[in-house]
Amino acid sequence: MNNIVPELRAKRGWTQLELAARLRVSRQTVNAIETGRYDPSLPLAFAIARLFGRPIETIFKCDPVEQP
Amino acid sequence: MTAYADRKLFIAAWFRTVGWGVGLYLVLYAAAMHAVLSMPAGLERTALILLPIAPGIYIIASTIRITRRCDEYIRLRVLQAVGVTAAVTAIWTLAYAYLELLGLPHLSVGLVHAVGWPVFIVQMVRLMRADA
Repeated sequence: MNNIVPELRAKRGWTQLELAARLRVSRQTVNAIETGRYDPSLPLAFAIARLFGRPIETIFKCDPVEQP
Repeated sequence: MTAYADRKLFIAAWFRTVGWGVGLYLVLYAAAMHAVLSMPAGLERTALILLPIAPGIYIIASTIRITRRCDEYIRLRVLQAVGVTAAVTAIWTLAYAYLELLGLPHLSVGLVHAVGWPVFIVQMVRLMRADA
């Protein structure tokens, strides 16, 4: 799954630590999501969407091969 | 809210737990050996011999408690560490069981711990060092 979390975070001028604090997760979790090593749970993905004020599907996108 | 805002705080808490657990284990192991060597058979001797199990239960219970205070990514990584440890332990014990058929010396089942715990600790150290 791809995401544009790094771009959205950069637009707001937040560090990974600041974003992690807003989401109440560890910085390592934010780092893993941004680098594509970890796909967040649905509640965390919704929290990210809420924080950036965008629909979830505009932040997270499935790779074409993963789509049903 | 996640209690451990950083993975290093979680790892530090876990290693403190292991430190206390191992320290307690060494004390109780000495008591158990004393019971084995110098006490007559009976309930007290059996109880003393079983005492070293308690630190193991303490470490496992503390690991569960500490892990519950972590966020989902760290919980996943700890679960992976548990899985790798279980797989390594299962493979080496199974392999050695067959090697015993070839004449290798019979080992105590207690030695499973001698491999399992270091493997788990290595996983936790890797978790501490990964994407620092």
